[in-house]
Amino acid sequence: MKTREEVLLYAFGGIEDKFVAEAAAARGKRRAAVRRWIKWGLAACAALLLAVSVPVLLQPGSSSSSSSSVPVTSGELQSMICVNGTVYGISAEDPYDSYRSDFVYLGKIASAVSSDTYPEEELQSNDGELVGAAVYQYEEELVVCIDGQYWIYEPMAEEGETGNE
Amino acid sequence: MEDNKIIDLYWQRSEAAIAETEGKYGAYCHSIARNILQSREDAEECVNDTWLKAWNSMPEQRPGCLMAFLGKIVRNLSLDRYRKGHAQKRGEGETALVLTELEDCLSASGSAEQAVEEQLLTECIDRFLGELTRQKRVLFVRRYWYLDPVSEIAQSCGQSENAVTLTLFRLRRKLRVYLEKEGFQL
Repeated sequence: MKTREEVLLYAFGGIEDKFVAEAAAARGKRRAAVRRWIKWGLAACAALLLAVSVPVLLQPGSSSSSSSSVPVTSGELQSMICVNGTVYGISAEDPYDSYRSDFVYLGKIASAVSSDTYPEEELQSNDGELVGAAVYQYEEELVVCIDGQYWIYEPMAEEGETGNE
Repeated sequence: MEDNKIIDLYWQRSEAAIAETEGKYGAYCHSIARNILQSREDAEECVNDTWLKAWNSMPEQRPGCLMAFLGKIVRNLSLDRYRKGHAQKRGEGETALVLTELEDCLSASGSAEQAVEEQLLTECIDRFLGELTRQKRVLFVRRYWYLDPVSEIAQSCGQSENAVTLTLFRLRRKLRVYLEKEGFQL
């Protein structure tokens, strides 16, 4: 007999063909983007080999850090919050499972703009589902309580600054 | 070759039908089976079984979307194979992770024995998906239909893995509320 999760997983399998095809197109874009990246990578290597034998300066800003060469889909930006004039974006780090005593309570998310817009006002987000969520300062970052987990938001680089990892 | 022409080959009982299907959708079906099963050999067998099932289904059937038709066959075969191989415990891999994640969509006190018609549940999920934005729907379907790893989804969306995880988490909660409102007590 199937478990409840398996019942749901199998039921999910029968969804409309148009939803399956729509997601397939998105999967295909990533694979095409990877193939393009590989092609450009090989071309860059060939150019480098030529440059070794010819005294020509290499151009800066090449594809060495092209982890972002996968096209970003238009529309929604990542989840962001504005506090004290600084915009924070959701971090790649895992959320905290529990409250920490050194979280400093700042307030609750008061308003939201659309997901394709940067928040500008105090305690504003571009993520409508965060409205009402508690926000805390924790060292340089913000922490937002969502369903009992504390998600980390990092200050985002301003325009004109390059992102250094 | 266009899908209609491939389907015609099945109806004509031409052996070229399988070759054409494999050429066009082999990689697609393999990716679904590999996401579900950890073993390349098991995935290979499920894909081969898919061609056989397709051969036995057409004629009689004339699918409107051949890709989705084949994808559903290989997905079900792969899940059946996974269940057989993990009767005692969930094991590792994307399928185990996805099953754990789907617990978020379930009520605390439901049971699989309750009257849940799988078809009705599917129709409810369809309505739920229809109400999502395209981006959220694609993310949800990629994770729970294709069982694509979160890392792969994040990379193609240009988002962090955490952002994708958070979105999926919220969508699963939303689905639970939706299912309960529709009267499903899973």
